[in-house]
Amino acid sequence: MEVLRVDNLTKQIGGKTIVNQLHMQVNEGEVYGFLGPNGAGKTTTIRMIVGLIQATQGSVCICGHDIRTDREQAMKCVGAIVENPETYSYLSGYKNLIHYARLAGIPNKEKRIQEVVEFVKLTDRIHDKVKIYSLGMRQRLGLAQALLGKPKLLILDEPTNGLDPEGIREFRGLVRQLADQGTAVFVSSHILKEMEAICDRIAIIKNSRIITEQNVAKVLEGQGHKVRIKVDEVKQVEHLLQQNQFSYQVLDHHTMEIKMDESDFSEFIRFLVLQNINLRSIETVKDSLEELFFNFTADEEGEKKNA
Amino acid sequence: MRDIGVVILNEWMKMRYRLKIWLVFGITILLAVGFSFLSFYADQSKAKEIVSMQKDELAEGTKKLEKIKKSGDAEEIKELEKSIERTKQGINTTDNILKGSWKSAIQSKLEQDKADLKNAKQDKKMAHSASTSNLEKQIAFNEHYLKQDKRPLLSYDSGTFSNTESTAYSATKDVLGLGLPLILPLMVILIIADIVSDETTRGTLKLLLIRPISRTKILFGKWTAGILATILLAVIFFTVVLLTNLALYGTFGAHAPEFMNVSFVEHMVDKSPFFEPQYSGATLLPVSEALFYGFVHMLIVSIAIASLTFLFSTISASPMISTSIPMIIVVAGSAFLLMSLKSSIFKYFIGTHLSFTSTWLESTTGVSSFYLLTKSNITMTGSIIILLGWILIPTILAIIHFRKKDILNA
Repeated sequence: MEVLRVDNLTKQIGGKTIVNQLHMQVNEGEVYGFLGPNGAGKTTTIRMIVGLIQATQGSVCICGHDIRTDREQAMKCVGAIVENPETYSYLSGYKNLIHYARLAGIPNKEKRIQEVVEFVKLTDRIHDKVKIYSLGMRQRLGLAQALLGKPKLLILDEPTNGLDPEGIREFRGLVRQLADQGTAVFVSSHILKEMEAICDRIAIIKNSRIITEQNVAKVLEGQGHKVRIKVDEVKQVEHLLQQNQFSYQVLDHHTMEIKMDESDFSEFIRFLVLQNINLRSIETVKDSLEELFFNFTADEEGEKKNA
Repeated sequence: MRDIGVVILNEWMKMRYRLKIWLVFGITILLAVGFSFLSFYADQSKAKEIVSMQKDELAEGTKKLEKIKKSGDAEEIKELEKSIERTKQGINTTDNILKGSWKSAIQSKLEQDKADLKNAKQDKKMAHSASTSNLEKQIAFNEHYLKQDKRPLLSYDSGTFSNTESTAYSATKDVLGLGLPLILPLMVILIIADIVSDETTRGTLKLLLIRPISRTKILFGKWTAGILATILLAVIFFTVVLLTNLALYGTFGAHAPEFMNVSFVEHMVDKSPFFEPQYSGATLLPVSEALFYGFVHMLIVSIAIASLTFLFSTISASPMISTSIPMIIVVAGSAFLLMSLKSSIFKYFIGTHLSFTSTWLESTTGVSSFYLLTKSNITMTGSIIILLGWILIPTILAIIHFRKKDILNA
C-alpha cells in the first residue's frame, strides 16, 4: 500500500528553485532512502512533506490525505525528526513525551510512552532533564517522540548524525524492525554507506532534482561481480586474460580485479590452476552504491558539459 | 476546543519548569512589597502626622504672632491671626472627626460651601477658577461622607497646600500609579517575549507544528496560556500591593470618595492656560470600588501589552527583538506622559494608557497627564475600548502571519 506520494513537488524562494519537480512514492514496510549532498534540497523537501513549508507547486499525499486540504488527517499518520531532534531541554525526557503525546491525542498515553521508551532503550534515563542527555540519547528521544502516534510514515532526517558506530548499528536494527512491522520509513542522508545498509530503495537528489531512483538490492545485483586475486606477478595472468577476453583492472603488481558472473568462479579458479599460476588469495568483491553514485553524478556533469 | 486545551496545558507545563518565569514572579512580588514599604515610610499624610502637623503649625503661628506683635504692622498681625484661627478650626474639625461627632460640623461646612459656590458661580472672574472647582469637589465629598455615614478622612490645609489622610486604599492607588506604567508591563513582556521566538531559536517549533493540530489552534493556545500567566501576574501584583498596604495602614478608609472620568476644560487666565476639572460630569465612588475598576483596567492593560509582545514573538525569531520593541513602546509611553505635546494622535497609543491614575482616575497631582499629552479627555470605558483594539489587532495579525509562515530556520 502506498503511504507517501509526492507529485511534481517544487519550492521556489526568492526566485531561486530549491526543490524542482520531485516525484516519489513510498510503500508500507519499505525503507526509502533520500540521498544527496548537503544543500541539495533534502531538508526543504522533508519540511514540505510535513507541512512546515508550503510547496510552490505540486502535492504531497500521506495515506491518501492531501497535506494542503486535509493536513490534520495526514499528520495523524506521520512521525518525524526534522534535522536535529531539538526537544525542551529544561524538561525531562518523559515530560517532553507527555507534551507530544497530548498534541497527538494519544489515548492511554502513559502506557504508550512506556512502550516507545523501552523500544528506544531510554527507560533508565527518561526522568532526567534533557539538558544532561548525550547527543545519542537525544536522538533516541527524538525517535521516541516520532513513534508515539504509531505512525504509518516515519520520516527521519539525517538520523545518525552524532551517533557512534555502535549507536548507528543499533539504530539500523530499530529501523529494520519498524519496517518489518509495516511502517514506511523515509530516511534522508548524505552518507551513502548508511543508505546501502538500511534502505530498500533510494532516490538520489542533486541540485534540487531527483537524478535517479534505484532498488538497492537490484543495483547491487545488477552491477555484476568481480573477483580480486593476488598472484606472484600480474603480468603472467594478464596475457591469459587478454586471450580469453576478460575485462579486468590491475590494482598493483600482485593484485587485480576481474569481472565475471558468479557461476563462472569455480571454472575460473580451475583455469588458473591448470595454467600453473601461483594463486595467493582470491575473493569476490561487490560494487558499492558509492561507485554507483559517482557514476550517476559524473554522468550528470558529463551531460552538462556536452550540453 | 480539546486541541486548544491541550496546547494550553502544554504551555503551562513548559512555563512552570522555566526558571525565568519563577524569577519574574518573584521579582514582581518583591517590587510590590518594596514599593509599598518605601512609600509608607516616605508618607507624611498618615493620620497621626496630620494631627501633629496641625499642632506644630498652631505652635509656630502663636510664637510668630508674639514676635510680630512687638514690632509688626497691623496688616501683618491681622493676616497671621486669621491663619491661626483657621488652624484652630482645623484642629477642632480633626478632634470632632476622631471623636465621632463630625456630622453637624460637616453639615454646616456643606451649607457654607454651597453658599460660597453659588456666589462664585455668579462672579465672572471666579466662575472658572481653581478655588471654585475645589469647592465643587469638597461639596461632593462631604455629601458622600454624609450619605455613607462614615467619618471623613482627616485633612490638613495650610492654605498653600493640603494633605488628606492616607489609607491603605489611597496608598495602593499611589503605589500602583507608580508601578503600573513600568513595572507590571515590563514583567509581562519578560514572560511573553520568548513564548514563540524561543521555540524558533531552540528549534522545537518544527516538532511542535507537525502534529495533527492546526497552526491557528496551536498559536491561539499559546496566546491563551500567555494571557493566563499575565493575568496571574497582574492579580498577584495587585493583591500583594493591596495586602501590604492593608497591613501597614489598617483597613480603615474603604468608603472614602474618589472621582473617576473627570474631564478637563482649558481656560486662559491671565494669558496662561488653566485646566478646569469638570466634576459635574464625573463619577464619584468609594475608593475601594475605584480600585476594583482600576484592577480591571490594569488586567486589560496587561493583556494588551502581552498581545503586542506576542505578535513580536511570532514575527521575529529573536527573543532580543521581541523583548526590546515592546519595552521601547512601554518606556516611550511613560516618557510621552511627562510631556505636553498636545497631539490627539497619542490618544490611540497603547503606551499612554498604562496607568489608571494618569488616564481616567483623578490623580492627586491635579490635571491628568493624559489630557496634557493628548488634549483629549478619556473615560475608563474609552480607555478600555482602545486597549481592546490593542488586544485584538496584534493577536489577529500574529495568527494570520503564523498560519502561512514557512518554517525555514527553526
